[in-house]
Amino acid sequence: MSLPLIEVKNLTKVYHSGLFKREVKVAVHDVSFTLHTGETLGLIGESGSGKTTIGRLVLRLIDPTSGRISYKGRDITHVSRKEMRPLRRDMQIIFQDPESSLNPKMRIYQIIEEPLLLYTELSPKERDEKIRSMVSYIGLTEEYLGRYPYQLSGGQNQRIVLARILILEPEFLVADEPTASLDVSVQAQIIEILKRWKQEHTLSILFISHDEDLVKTLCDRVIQIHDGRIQDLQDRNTS
Amino acid sequence: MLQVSNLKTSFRTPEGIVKAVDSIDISLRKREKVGLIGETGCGKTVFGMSVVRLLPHNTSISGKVSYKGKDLMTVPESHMQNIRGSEISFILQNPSVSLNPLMRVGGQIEEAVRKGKNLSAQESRKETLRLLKEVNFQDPEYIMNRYPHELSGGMKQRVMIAIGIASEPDLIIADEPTKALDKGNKKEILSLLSDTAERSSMIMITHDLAAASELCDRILVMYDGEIVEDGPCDEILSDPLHPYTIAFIKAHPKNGCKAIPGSSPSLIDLPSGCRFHPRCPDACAKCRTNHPDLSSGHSHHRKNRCHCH
Ligand SMILES: Nc1ncnc2c1ncn2[C@@H]1O[C@H](COP(=O)(O)OP(=O)(O)O)[C@@H](O)[C@H]1O
Ligand SMILES: Nc1ncnc2c1ncn2[C@@H]1O[C@H](COP(=O)(O)OP(=O)(O)O)[C@@H](O)[C@H]1O
Ligand SMILES: [Mg+2]
Ligand SMILES: [Mg+2]
Repeated sequence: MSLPLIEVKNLTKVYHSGLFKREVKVAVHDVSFTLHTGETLGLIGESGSGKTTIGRLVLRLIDPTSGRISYKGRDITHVSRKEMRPLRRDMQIIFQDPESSLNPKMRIYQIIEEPLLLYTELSPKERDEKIRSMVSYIGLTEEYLGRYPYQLSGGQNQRIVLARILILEPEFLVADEPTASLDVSVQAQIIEILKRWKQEHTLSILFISHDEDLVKTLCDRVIQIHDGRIQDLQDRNTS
Repeated sequence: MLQVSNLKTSFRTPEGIVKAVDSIDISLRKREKVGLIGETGCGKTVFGMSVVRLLPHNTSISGKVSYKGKDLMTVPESHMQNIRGSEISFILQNPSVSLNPLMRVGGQIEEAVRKGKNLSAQESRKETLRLLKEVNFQDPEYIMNRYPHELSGGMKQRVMIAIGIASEPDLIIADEPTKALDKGNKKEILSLLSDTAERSSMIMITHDLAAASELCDRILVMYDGEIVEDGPCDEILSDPLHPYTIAFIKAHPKNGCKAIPGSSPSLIDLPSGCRFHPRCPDACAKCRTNHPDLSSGHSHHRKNRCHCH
């Protein structure tokens, strides 16, 4: 088997909070797993079980207390923010609440264009083509490009967030309950976009959810987390 | 006990008139529990708000809402306030918005307990503790003194229920009580609602079919401001008639997670004919031009708004 895309070994995260940082919470305890290229790994557990913490640790948005994270064989546990920057394009995250990731003062066009400006050298014309084809890919029409996030529904905004991520063709995506605040019918649209994209591109996903049924429709493998610990690792095929 | 007929609620906005609720008829018997389901934006919350007259100024509303023989559309606002506080309670969507962030939750429950009753401070405190116990808090004294932000989503939702049942209302309108909760919390809220609301009638607004089916006798399916299907819960789930209901059920992860093509039309520019026809796999010429009625076909206890099914 090829090298795993992500390898997590004995990851632990302890939060210190409250007055004089006296409140100690072991949010993630000795968690190990691997994620292979192109794979969708489900991470399920009740709220407060440590799922978001794991997602953020893997992306190095927060520092682990102990343990090791490697990306394509490279140990990224202790790399600096600056060293992480070139990897940010390939490692993306989508949150539960689309509004938190969209600048309310920007039009949809600019929102989708922004990552291209940040990470690519494309000409304005090339960007324009990409933006228009992306909008149709997520099932919206070009008339939405001139609108603002507040003029769109939650599900439409979440599709914009997804467009903004996918337009960079990332290798790895942490999806942190991206549909938890949406209706089932809107949720199904997001899941269909992800499924279709995965048929056409190589994208590995860590899909965080508390909904077992949802995880089953999308994921190749599922890890169950309880109180910061992995409970059992089961293959979807054998369950 | 509740009879809503031809209720229409619309908002004037710079973009045009938003017809959020369009000709809704609902009747609810004593202790009956109905689920109002449909996707976000179809008008469920506005419907609930219309029943208790909690609407902003840009609203125009018509039709009849009769509750125990009283016409709620015409009773004076002061009387309506009493009804809202004691007989009909509205458990609002999104507890993080509707709980006062600056007030301990105990105080907020006490406020609801005192409404319409003449209780001493001691009595209302006692009642508050009892309510917190009733919504499964093991340590009511501790919870009483917490601010909302110190509680988790599920705990806040339970506080909302405590407030909702404080006045022992005859009718509870619960707006998305299980939204964004995880499985354990969802289960707890549902069983709480079914225990505490046993003697009340309830309209449960939700987009979660599974939740509705656990609690409700009847289901009303709403699409774009109108009811498209109405029938007993188990029959709607096992044998849905309206193409929208069918598609909505199939979108559930348990049933394949299949998306409904297109998106729901704007409530300003409603499509001609059947409102679902642009997304309907079975739409025919008639569906594009004629607006179907909500009618009962072969069985009188079910209603469906469709030309073809
Ligand atoms: N920044 C933080 N400071 C202190 N405790 C935190 C912080 N973030 C999360 N926690 C705690 O860590 C635990 C796991 O949280 P989280 O990873 O958000 O779980 P999940 O995503 O599964 O709901 C929870 O008990 C939470 O309260
Ligand atoms: N005060 C208002 N002014 C204008 N439009 C409104 C107002 N309140 C709600 N709406 C619109 O009415 C429609 C129905 O909303 P709502 O009842 O909240 O839907 P649901 O609860 O089914 O998600 C939506 O299109 C919403 O944007
Ligand atoms: Mg989380
Ligand atoms: Mg609503």
